[in-house]
Amino acid sequence: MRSLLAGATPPIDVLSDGPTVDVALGDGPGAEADVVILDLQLAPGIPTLDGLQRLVDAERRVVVYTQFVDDALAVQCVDIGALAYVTKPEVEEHLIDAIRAAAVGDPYTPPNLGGALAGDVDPGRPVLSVQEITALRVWFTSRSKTMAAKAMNVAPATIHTYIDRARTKYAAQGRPARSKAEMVKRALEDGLVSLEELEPVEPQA
Amino acid sequence: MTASSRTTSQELLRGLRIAVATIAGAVLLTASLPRKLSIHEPLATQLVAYGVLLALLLVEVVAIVRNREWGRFRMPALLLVIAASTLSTWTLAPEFLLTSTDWSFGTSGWLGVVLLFGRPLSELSAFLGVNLAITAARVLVVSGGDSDLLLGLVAGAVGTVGFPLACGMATTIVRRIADDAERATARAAEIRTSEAVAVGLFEAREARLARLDAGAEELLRGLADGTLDPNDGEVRRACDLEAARMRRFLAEADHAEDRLMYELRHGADVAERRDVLVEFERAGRWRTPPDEVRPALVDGVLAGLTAARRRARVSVIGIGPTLSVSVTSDGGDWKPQLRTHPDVTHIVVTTEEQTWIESTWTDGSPSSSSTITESPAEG
Repeated sequence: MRSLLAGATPPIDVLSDGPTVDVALGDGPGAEADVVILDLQLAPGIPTLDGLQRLVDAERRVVVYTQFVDDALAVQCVDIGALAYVTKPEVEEHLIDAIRAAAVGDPYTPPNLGGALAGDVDPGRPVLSVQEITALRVWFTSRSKTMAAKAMNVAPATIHTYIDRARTKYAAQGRPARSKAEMVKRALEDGLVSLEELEPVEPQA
Repeated sequence: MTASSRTTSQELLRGLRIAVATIAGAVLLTASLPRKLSIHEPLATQLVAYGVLLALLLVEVVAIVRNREWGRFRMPALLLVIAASTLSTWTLAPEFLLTSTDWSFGTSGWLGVVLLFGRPLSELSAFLGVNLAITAARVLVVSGGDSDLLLGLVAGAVGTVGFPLACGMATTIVRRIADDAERATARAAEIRTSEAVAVGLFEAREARLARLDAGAEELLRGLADGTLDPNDGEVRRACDLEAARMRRFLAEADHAEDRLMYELRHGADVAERRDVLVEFERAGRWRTPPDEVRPALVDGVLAGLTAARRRARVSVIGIGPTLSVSVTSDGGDWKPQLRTHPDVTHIVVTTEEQTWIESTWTDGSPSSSSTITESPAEG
């Protein structure tokens, strides 16, 4: 992981690492880091999201990195306030981008997270438009925004916009953590979404 | 048709049995005994013998009505007939032997025909022989070599043995014909059944083969007549695709929990044999698409995999009623002819270095929630 981050251009410094989230909290050596990468494998057995909750509560920007390719877990992490959810097979292609986005408070959606959001069947999920769901789907299936854009017959930036709008709707849902609130505020300022679109909706039957 | 033929042959045999019993009944009822009661001395033995034969005939009538066979009662009944015949013949006044007063001589043999109905002719012959011997023995004892009486015995035997025997032969022949007819009908039915099964199997195989469509056939023809060069990269790709289609097709016959993923993995095996690393990703949930949809739905992935050089990624995602199956592979410039289905749409995006094919099926069935496959956690 260290070598992967050091090899990025520009390089990403690792301030600290440790077996628990405490390294990034309070007086921990990683308390000053711009981004916290949380490996959900930290605890053996069933992954618990307590650590993520504590980091988000402490207003840290978190990228979840895990070997669990699990839709429900991915959506849960996003709900709590993780800015990105990167699965092990996606590390090489997406971790660096996810960290850079998180460093400035932006969400990042690797393909598997896109698939998880597109396939989310939770009745309480935010209402996504057809284009947003399609964009998430083709991003998941093609793993290339260029390809996805070709398939949808739009510009690659538009795919990006659709995906970010979907993420913003998720961020606006429920109790807003700082990173989520920041994301929503920015999306509103940029005109990415309107307030009406973020109105909470009654769960669908 | 088999059932009715069986009934016909059974009806024929039943009619024959009734006919034989009727003849025996007519012979017994028209016997001279009732008319000549005053002549006999002693009369009781004659009446007992007559009563035994009449009783046996009545049992036969009941057996016919109830559709029963004599079975294990046959031999005791035959012995009763022999006993009655012996009793009647040996207690008859010697001067009435072989005359019209000797009622049992021409009567008891018919009871044998009744009791041995459906048995081998040899048994009837033996019975009639024994029955004749009873009278013959009495004649020899009484006559002491009187040639007139012996001649009378021979002449009488023609009727008392010959008629029942002829009747027995006729029943045997008719019975054999009925049995043959029944066997032939059974054989014909068997042939018809196996023929129907063969036709059904053939049609099922043909329907399955038709789903392999003309692709493999065209390819094999081309390779056979030399118009396609096996060293040509395009031809090899086409062969890979047909091989993958065939692997998926053969996997259809297996039992699998998740048919779609199972068939995808089987189809991917052809690419993996070329050392292509194939990864699978899944999200959302879906209902297993029906048999007629899967060949088209999976075809895009199989085609995309044949384009892969080193690695490929297969993704399956179910969003509501929409199921999307796709592949990204590191081989480009590939526009294969994909199989179609009215409910399946394909998107093919290919650049110089990459190909992405997505096939989407929209489930129109109302019971789409019945068998749902949920994307499981993968470690």
